[in-house]
Amino acid sequence: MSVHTESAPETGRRATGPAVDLWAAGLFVATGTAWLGLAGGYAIGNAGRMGPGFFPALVAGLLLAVGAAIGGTALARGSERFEPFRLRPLAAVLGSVLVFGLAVDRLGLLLTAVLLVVIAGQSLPGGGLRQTLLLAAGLAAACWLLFIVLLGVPLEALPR
Amino acid sequence: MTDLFANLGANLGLGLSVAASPQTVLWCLVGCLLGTLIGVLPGIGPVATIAMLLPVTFYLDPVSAIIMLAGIYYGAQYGGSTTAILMRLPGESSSVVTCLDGNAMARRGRAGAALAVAALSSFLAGTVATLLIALFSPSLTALAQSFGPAEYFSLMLLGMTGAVVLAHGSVPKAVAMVLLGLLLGLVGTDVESGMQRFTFGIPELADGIDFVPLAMGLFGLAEIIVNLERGVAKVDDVAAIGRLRPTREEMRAAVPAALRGTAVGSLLGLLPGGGAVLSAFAAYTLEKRLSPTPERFGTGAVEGVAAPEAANNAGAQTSFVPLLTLGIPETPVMALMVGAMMIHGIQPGPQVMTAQPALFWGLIASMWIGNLMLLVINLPLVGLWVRLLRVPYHLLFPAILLFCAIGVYSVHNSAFDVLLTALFGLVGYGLAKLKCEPAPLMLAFVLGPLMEENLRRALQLAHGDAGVFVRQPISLGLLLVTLALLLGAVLPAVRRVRAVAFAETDT
Repeated sequence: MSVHTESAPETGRRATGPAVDLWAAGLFVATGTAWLGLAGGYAIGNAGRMGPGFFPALVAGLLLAVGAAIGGTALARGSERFEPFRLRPLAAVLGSVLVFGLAVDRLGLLLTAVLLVVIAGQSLPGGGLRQTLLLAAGLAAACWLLFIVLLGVPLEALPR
Repeated sequence: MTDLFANLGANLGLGLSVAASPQTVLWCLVGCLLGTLIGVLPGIGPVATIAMLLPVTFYLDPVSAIIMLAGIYYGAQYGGSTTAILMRLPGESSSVVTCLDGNAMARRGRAGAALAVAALSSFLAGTVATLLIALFSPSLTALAQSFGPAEYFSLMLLGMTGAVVLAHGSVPKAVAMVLLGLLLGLVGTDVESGMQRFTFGIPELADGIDFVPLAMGLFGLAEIIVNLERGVAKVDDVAAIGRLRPTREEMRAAVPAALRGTAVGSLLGLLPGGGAVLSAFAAYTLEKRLSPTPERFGTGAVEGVAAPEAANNAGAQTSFVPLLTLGIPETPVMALMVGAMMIHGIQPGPQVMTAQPALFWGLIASMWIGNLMLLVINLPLVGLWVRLLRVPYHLLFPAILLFCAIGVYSVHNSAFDVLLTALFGLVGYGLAKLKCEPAPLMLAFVLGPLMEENLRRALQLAHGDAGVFVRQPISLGLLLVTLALLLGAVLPAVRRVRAVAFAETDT
């Protein structure tokens, strides 16, 4: 993939903060356990006649085991630390898509598109509101033309 | 043998008659252009590009759609090489090696030549690899028709193991990602019993998680967030292009290197898990070994551009082989292709070639047309793409987000899918922070239901005796290769080589 999460060792900062691998292990163990529990609610059957729970239980069990192994290794040998988080881009990008999903059936494409662009525009500090609104209006019009007029996506343009 | 070539001629003729029709050429062109357009954007690789553009293809007939997707794929790859050379910013991991000498050439004022050599090498490799695919697909397909459920299960196990071994970073984490992907793939109604599994009572999940929101969230949204967080490279770093035509000395060095790169890439591309990164690196290393002046590498050696670019394109082509002949995707890009084919009602597998020869040979022929198009159209347009790099990211990314959101919505006219995309965007961001590569997850997600089905049928036929997997010779062979791959990844000697390979490509 294009995004390379490996970074040069930052000396002095590595020893602080929560360990990446421990959190990853926690995620895997928790997911494995939850899915194992859910799969247990379905009929398991046996190898010759597998029920709907057989394969999920097998995979979830493996995930649980691998997660535990990752956690164990991290405890024994240590693990790298998290890169710093920045909440703003995360919240703005996810928020804009969420709002789009919630609003598009009610507000129509044009308004929702403007909302998405304005919210997404908050991910970087210092973008002027005027510029963002201009961009939003332009993009909304372009999408209306492309998706509704040209491609015929069954979307309302205006609020119902 | 003459028979083989006579068939080849007939088949390619059929393919060209499909792929060279004005309509298909148009869609291939649109795909190449769109793919380059998105692929050239820093930090957005082929998987994200294809995920973002998938919905666009749903308005086309199946043949045009698949051909356009293939065009998008090549375009995205080429776009990645462009930023690698001009900005030392690889758009995808397989063009990381191109950065080394490509950008060095650019800094010496030979950017145009480096771009031309990259495009020409890719075209050469694409041509050879297309011929190889056309030559060998029929016999592989015949082999695949003898595959039973046990063979398919072992093959999928091999594919996933390949994805694990070739993923960046830690092997146990990649295994965990595969398992997570399998579990996500099982959400929805169980085919055999009709039971709804892991749907949490949400009616939209009864048919399973759609793979467009998953791919778009994991790759598209997550990459945008990470890019915003990290800040995007300054546009002043773009090198001037200069003259495109390589000098005679450059050509003389580049041609044999491109040919060797093609050979390396065609072979490694067949590997499960997709050897794109590996083949580019292997080709680069080979050139450095063979060169009488290895010290030139890293300072703008033209072989260092030609070989990896050829290898990576040849690998991209031959990675279609397992998908087209066996119906098993071996790379995340191919997993997306499977998803797209299924949305169009095509179940990939050996039957595609016999049941839909127009699609099969049309796709193969369009690979070549796509490569030609990249050469004829993209090279002169390179200035335009560079200008695109100068559009500030804060104006660009809201547009990309908006297209993603509308695109996801339009697949099933479902606002729920848009919400799901946001959720998977969060998951993808979390995985990036946890240093977990999402590519194996995507692959396993597509393979999950198939794997369960084949495991079930294999064991049912064998009355629950798991020994069936080692008694069938083909299945046993596949399992042995799987084991060898796994052992290879864990053995210290290979692990060191792997670490060096990825360390070098990460600089």
